Amino acid sequence: MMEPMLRVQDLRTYFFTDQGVVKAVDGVSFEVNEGETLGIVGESGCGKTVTSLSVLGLLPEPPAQIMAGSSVKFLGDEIIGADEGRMRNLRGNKISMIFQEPMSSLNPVYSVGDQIAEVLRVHRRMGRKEARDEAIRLLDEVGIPAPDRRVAEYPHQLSGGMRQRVMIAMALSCEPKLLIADEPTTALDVTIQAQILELLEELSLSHGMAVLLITHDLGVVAEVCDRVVVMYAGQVIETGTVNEIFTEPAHPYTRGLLASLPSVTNSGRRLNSISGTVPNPVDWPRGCRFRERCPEAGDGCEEEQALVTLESAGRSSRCCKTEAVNLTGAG
Amino acid sequence: MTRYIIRRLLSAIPLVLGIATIVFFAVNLAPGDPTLYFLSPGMTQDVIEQMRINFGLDQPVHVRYLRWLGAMLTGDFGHSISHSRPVLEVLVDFLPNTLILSACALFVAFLFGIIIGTIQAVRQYSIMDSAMSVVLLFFYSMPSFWLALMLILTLSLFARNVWDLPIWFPASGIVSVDYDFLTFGEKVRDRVMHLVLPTLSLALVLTAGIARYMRGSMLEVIRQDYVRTAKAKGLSEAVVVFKHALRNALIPVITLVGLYIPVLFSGTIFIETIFAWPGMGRTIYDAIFIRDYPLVMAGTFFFASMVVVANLIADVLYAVIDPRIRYE
Amino acid sequence: MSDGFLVARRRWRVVSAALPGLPQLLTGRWGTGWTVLLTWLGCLWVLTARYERVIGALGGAWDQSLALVTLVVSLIVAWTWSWRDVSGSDRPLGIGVSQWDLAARAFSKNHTAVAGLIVIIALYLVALLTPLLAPYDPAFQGNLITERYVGLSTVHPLGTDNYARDVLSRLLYGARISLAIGFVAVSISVTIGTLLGAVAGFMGGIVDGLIMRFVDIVISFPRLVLLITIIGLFGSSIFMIVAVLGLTLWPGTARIVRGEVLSLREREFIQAATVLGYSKRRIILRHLIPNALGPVIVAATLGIGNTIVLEAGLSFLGLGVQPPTPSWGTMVAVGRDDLLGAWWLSTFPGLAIVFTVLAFNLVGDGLRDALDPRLRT
Repeated sequence: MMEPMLRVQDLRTYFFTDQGVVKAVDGVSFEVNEGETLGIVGESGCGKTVTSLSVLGLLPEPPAQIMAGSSVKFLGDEIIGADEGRMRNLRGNKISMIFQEPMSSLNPVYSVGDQIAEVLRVHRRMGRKEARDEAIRLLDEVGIPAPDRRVAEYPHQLSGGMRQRVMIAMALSCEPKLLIADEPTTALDVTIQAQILELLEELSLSHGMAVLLITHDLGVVAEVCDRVVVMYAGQVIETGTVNEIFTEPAHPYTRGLLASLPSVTNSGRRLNSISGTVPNPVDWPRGCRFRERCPEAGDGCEEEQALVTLESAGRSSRCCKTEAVNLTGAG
Repeated sequence: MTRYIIRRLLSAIPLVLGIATIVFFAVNLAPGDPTLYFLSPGMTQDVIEQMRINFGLDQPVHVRYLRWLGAMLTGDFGHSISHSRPVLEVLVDFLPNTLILSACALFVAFLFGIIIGTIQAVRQYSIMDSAMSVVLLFFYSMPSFWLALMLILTLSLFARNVWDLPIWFPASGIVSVDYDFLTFGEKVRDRVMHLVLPTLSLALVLTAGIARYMRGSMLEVIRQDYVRTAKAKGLSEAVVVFKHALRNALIPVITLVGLYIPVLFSGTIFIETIFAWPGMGRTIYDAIFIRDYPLVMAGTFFFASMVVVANLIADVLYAVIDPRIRYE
Repeated sequence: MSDGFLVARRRWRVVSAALPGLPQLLTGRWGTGWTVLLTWLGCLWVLTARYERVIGALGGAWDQSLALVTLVVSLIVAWTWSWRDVSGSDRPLGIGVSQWDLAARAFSKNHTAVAGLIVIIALYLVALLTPLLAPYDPAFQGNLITERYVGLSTVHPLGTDNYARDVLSRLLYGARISLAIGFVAVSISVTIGTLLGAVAGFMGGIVDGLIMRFVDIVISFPRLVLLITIIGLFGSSIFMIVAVLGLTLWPGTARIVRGEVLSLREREFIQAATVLGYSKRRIILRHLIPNALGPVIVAATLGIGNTIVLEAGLSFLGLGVQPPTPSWGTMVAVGRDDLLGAWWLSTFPGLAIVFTVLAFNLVGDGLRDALDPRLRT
């Protein structure tokens, strides 16, 4: 089997605070293959964002700390604990990232052109003029009208959707192998959301770029992802292809998420919701972390649950009842 | 941007007028008048009356106010009683010394304040950060006149007489007595040496204030999303901090330019008195006691107006640094 | 309630009765602990070591009587405080907890700020107890030939000045002036500033415009220049100094309060009050000002430090408190005459100013952090 481009193994990112140790990410493993789009789904507070920031080493230390035993391999090379120089060469160059809040992710005091050109000048050693022309070309590519005029404008002069396009142009500028998109559409209007997702899909195809898409929105996942990782309380609780996850969810939590999706077919009926909220990350519940909210909880759930590989490769679930439930589901 | 500046300029006009009014009435409603300065035993009441008429003091207060305001608008600040020459000439003589001192202090204070505050913020929670905070708060709590005396005591008197240090700083005047006989290089050195202690006395307290403010502002900024973006772009920490974060963190700090210039001018009164520095602060202070009204009014008015000008400069600096204001 | 709990409480009561503050110190509440313990021990020390003076103070001058009352009251308060604290009401945590309780809790976690508060309490106690504490009368002149400019010694711990007076005694008496002027002047300015700021913010329009333009003008003056102009021309007296200091500090407070009120005005509960038909006076006094008070308290605390520096500055220039009344600023000025020969003259009063102001600044910073809900996690 081909070596995956990004392999995250047993990633643990803890925050050391006055209130105690926040185990935001507690043993997460997943892989991203060349050219594919992987979605990480989960409620807010489940550790999705911290996972993505850990990969690029963007968390402030202290209070954050990536614990010993964690491993992130990019193209076969370990990057946890890599020196700053090597990390800088990855960031924005081989792996780039876009964030949730386009309104605040761009520096308000520099023009968007300058901010795009900066990446090119740092990683590609372009000259001033060359970088600016390239910035205009990139703005054009991400669908910004009149790019030669927009290039000199400041973030506050652009709409949210436009700013996210600028962020994408910036992320794209060095032809990265992997784009990490952390809730890229959450802060945008619904119509703009669709445009941005379309753009991401298009660009990942035309540039052969893998995308790690982090979102709480299963609708977004269905639209653009190839495979899905579902996270809950700092752990991966289910993995599979989009098809598998949507048609045969193995974990009760995933089923809960799916049931809470509004759809045309069940319109008129009450939406289901998962009762309660994500538990306190300082003190995760013992045993299955979803137990307290799980409608199917019973014997065996007090035990620590392991991520069990299911029938197909890349298909796994962290629930002791998966097989039993699956059987009844099949029958 | 030009419109923004013009609007600011226009809004400063009533401010300056208001300042002039307060200055005039504060001075003219006080008991006593300039004739006290010339009073000597054996003077007849007639002579005093005549003197009052010469000074225009026989007129009612509102007439004097309008006359004074009118004269000021034409650039006539009156005649200094104690210096026996036009107030304007006195100002021209003493103001440059004050401005040099203030400018040096302001420069030193902002330079070190910004650097220290930035380093503290970037290394938050480190021992150096807490140690610096304590030292800064100590200086921040210090009266500048006492700091000046302590600097004289240590860096001038003790350094020279007790500890026999190779370098000590002069504690009085702007140049040495033998200034005229020095070569050009020595003259420059002499002036700089005389500037060191007064500048430090004025600057250290401000440095502490600026650094404290800068630290807070910087801490706020380095938590912002765009700083994370800059890191995600693969920029080095130095570029992230000094290019992306610093410029944003400076925006609120600019307010301090306008806020600290009055403090600075207040400080010059002490510092110029202590260091025998021939500047405006000391001149106004002396003029108050001999009731040299024209000089007091002009000097106070000038100081207050400089504060208005400083605020204008701060407003322009805002626009230079922050495009959101520029394109308002 | 379990027996073990009652036994533990009884034991703490015994400890508290013997040495108030110790139970709190031992249970980790060192802010309360040190304050009570130091007050208790300090006052006991005065009572025993200055026994004759305490007796003599009965029916003495007003400041001696005040010191006596302070001494007795402090002892009683320290003892009962600790006793009641140990006996403890068992109010469960989390019920009826107001914003102020939360702020108090946040403040007590800030060690430097609590230390500053202890210093301030100690300073005010010292200022009140000075007639009993000071080794000499502040105006007492020793032998002008042999006892002038005496350096640090056991007889004069901080030396003597140009009139052979004891520096330590003058320093202690000087604390009274600085602390009193700081407190009174800031009270005046905070009252004026809060009222004007609230009125400006609530009324808006022309009233707001007029008040704030006036604020702009007063703020434009270098404050010291304004102070020496007024005091220099009108003459100096304690009343004058307090009045002028109080009347020049308020614009800052007014700006802060106006800003707060402007944002509060849009909030629902103020709009509800308007809809209910409350009078403007009532809305401003009962609803706006209490909610805008946090930043004002911070500004006032920092303002006291600032005002103490200014008063010292005026005295340094000879415009403040007039001799022979001792004041820290004048004492620093006296030391100027022979800086090299008698370095202690300027140094110690200056240090007294620095540490007093430092304490107020620490408390002010601590209050700001504690009262700022944005910083609360």
